[in-house]
Amino acid sequence: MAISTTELKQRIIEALNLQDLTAEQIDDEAPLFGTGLGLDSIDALELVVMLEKHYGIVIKDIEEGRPAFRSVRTLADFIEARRPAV
Amino acid sequence: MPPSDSREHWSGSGRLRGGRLGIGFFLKLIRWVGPTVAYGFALPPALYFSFRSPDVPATMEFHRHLFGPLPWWKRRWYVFKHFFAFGRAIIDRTAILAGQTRRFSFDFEGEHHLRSAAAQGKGVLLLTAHIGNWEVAGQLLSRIGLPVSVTGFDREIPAIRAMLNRMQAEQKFQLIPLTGTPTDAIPLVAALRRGEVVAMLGDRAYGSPTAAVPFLGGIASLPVGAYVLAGIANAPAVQVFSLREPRGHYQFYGFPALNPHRPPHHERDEYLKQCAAQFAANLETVVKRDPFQWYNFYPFWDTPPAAPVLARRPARTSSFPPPATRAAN
Repeated sequence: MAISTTELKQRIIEALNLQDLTAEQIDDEAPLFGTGLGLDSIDALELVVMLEKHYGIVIKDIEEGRPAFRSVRTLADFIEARRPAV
Repeated sequence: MPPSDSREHWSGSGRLRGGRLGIGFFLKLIRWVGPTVAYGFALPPALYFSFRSPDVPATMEFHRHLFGPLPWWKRRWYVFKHFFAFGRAIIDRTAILAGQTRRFSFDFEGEHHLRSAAAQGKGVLLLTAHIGNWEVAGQLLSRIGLPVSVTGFDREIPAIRAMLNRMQAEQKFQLIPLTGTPTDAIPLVAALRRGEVVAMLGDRAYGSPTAAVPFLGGIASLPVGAYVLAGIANAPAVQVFSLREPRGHYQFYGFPALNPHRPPHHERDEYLKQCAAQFAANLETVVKRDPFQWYNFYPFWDTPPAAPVLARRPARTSSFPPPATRAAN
């Protein structure tokens, strides 16, 4: 089953404690880092832990994760591809 | 700025080690006649490096910011004294990690902070610094009765592993390598969630996120990733620093635990800065007791102190913790 971007956005908001943001306010295609959502390396650390905790995905090398962290959409696709079969 | 990659750092490479044969010789020497004679072997390298090491200018700067302008002979003397203290620390570490603790004594002021943090059963993030001899803390950590992981950045790992290897101390510590990237979080959070002690050095960032905080009269950038991890793993963070005192006595200082907190995103940076500032303030009280056991031989401050921090040499008998902290206890 494809992972819903709304669910993923909820998880991101939860992991980063983005209290003043709702899932609807985050655009699927908007960049997560730099411009767009404006996340930084500390947020990346929290996202790496979130992926491990909720989706069982361990990113070994940050270079491997970099393309995945481009936007909510790319992250959802990444999770989809890497998620251990249930 | 941490030591650059290009040149080998004499302190990191442990050039005083002299291989397996040398170690055996030192250990016998320490066992039979005590460490004092062994320290004699640290004199020639300390003297040599106090003229030839590329770290001399930064070390002199450090002394100038602490003590003010010094006459040329005192500048040289202080560098030598500082390097000799480092050599002595390596010899002590070698002996202690090899299990030869008879000639040394240990005392842990504020051990209850670590004990009560450990008793919460949520794992403990142990923050220390390049001061005194953090490696010998294993002696005290074994009393806490929890598995201990030591972290080190990639470039330090071979040296740390070799050290643990030589001392046959590998069974005492797990070693978690760090890269300075977000993926470091996984093994650290996992160890904390297993309820273990994870030891990190809180005074070097190697490219990981930092906050600029007051330190010894100036402003220095200190890593903040540790406090994020503590928040994620819901583990208390305890600061422990060590200093060598005369006659082979190691004094450890534990500070009240910082309880994990996950502030809203817009307050996060301010919170992390407060954590780093508290670390810096506690570390400062220990550095002031003996600045010659501060082993960061590179320009540490972003903004150096405007005026000398210690006009005179600090009195060794100064009270610890300082009155304000003591009242809080």
